[in-house]
Amino acid sequence: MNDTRTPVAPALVLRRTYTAPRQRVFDAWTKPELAMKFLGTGDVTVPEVRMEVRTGGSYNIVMRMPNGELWNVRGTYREVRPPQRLVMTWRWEEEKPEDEHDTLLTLEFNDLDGATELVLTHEQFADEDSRDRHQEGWAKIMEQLAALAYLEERKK
Amino acid sequence: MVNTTGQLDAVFSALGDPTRRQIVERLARGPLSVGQIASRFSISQPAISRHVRVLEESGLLERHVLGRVHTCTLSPTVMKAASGWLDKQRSFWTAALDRLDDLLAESPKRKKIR
Repeated sequence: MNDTRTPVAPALVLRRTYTAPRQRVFDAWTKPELAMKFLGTGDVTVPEVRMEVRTGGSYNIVMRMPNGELWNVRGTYREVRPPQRLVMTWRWEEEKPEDEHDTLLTLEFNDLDGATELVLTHEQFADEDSRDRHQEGWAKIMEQLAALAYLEERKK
Repeated sequence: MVNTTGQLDAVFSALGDPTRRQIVERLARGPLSVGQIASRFSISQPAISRHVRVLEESGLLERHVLGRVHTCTLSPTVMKAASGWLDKQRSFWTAALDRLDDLLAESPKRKKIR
């Protein structure tokens, strides 16, 4: 893949292979009636999904927690390339708006002879520019702090 | 918490200076007073104090005042914020991706493949 790149810590990368063609997997992420069936997990339900799937379009996902609280996720599509790639910002709504923070979610749908490998990358940075600007700093933090035995001890 | 862009910027810009990175490295080995930090560098104590203040404002360094002695330690907040965020997202996405598997399995097209 020409898109593959090493995400900068802290980033979450999950890979999963589905026995379905990638257009179907892509549809599950881009059709509200399908997305609401899997984005709600466990006791969490998704009463509302609004999506404007085009580059620059926005989306909004409402999740209902078991205690009745409603959580909101919203963001903007940065890249929509059916059926292979979807890049969007992802922002959890917080009680205090100043605690909110745009993150970047990248979904890659790779064709494996009719099956689909989904690669999900969730990063703390809102876009590739800001990730690149922060790369050196994060790398240093991780390098210097990850090895600190005494911080580990304090956590225990 | 290091969860806002402004705070992240403060942390990265604090680490953008070689003296401050050295201070962080020294503190990684254990707490030191400002005076002890200064004695390990060939620059003036006021200059060291300024660097310590920048690190403190970024959240990387915590200062504890005991009488006239200011002891500096590294704050585990940065690491905790980063790893806490990852744990939260991981559990959310892992569950969602499992459900997606169930959803795709329900479909008639999947049955044809079988």
